[in-house]
Amino acid sequence: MTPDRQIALVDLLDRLLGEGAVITGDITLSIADVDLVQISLRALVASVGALG
Amino acid sequence: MSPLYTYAVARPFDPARLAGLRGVDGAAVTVVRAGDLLAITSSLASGTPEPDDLPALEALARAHDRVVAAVSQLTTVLPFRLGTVHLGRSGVVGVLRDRHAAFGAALDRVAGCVELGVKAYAVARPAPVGAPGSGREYLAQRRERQEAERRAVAVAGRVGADLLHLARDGHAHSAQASTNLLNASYLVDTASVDGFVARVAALDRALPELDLVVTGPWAPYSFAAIDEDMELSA
Repeated sequence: MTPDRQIALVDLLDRLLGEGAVITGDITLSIADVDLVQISLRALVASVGALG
Repeated sequence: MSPLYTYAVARPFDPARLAGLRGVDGAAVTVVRAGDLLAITSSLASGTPEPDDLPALEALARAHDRVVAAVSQLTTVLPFRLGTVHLGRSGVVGVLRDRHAAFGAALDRVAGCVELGVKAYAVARPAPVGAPGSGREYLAQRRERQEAERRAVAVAGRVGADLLHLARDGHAHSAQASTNLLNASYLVDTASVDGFVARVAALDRALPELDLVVTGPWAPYSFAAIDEDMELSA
């Protein structure tokens, strides 16, 4: 694992969005709307090339 | 009470080893401890980005992964979902205490493992030379192409199942493109990583219809979901 390696954003987002320990409760805030963020980030990926 | 961006829950380690590590917005990474659990955090000055601020969201995603990857070099780590923010240290301690049993069980499940990604792409078949001479020939070519696609999908499915034998667990992601026939994550013992990668390479050589790609090792993002129903511990 080379920390500085440029990881393909699409692979990163597969893991960062919708995965990960999900904590519910009123002391936890998440980014405004995870679904909306997911759509936005997918759009970002599409705009820079899906396999970039 | 300042908001804390929360990257992950981890088994205890010497926080001095995080010296110099910068997280979201360049903030210093710190830990919040509750018993035998640590939360990896940094203070958040600016709030999380708006959903339409794409460069800021990419920066957030990369900062989140940078910190999680660094901590995963030191100890067993359970990444939080991107964009998890808690209100102050006491809030973080509360979550660690409330979910102690569930975090512990999830950490035990991924201990000693890394996540490897495996993607299979259909290899484009060379187009037949020249235009089909007749309608019948055209239909035959099309049928042959469709059958080849079906075979590739089936083979990709078998690859996915075959690799599960070398892993503790597996998780399917959505396809990244129409030619992406398999997009999966595997939870693999660190001692088995070389064997796993070698197996993928062997399959890649043996299956000309597929292009197989390994990504990672990753922190166990795809295997970090905790059991929300697990009884809250005192």
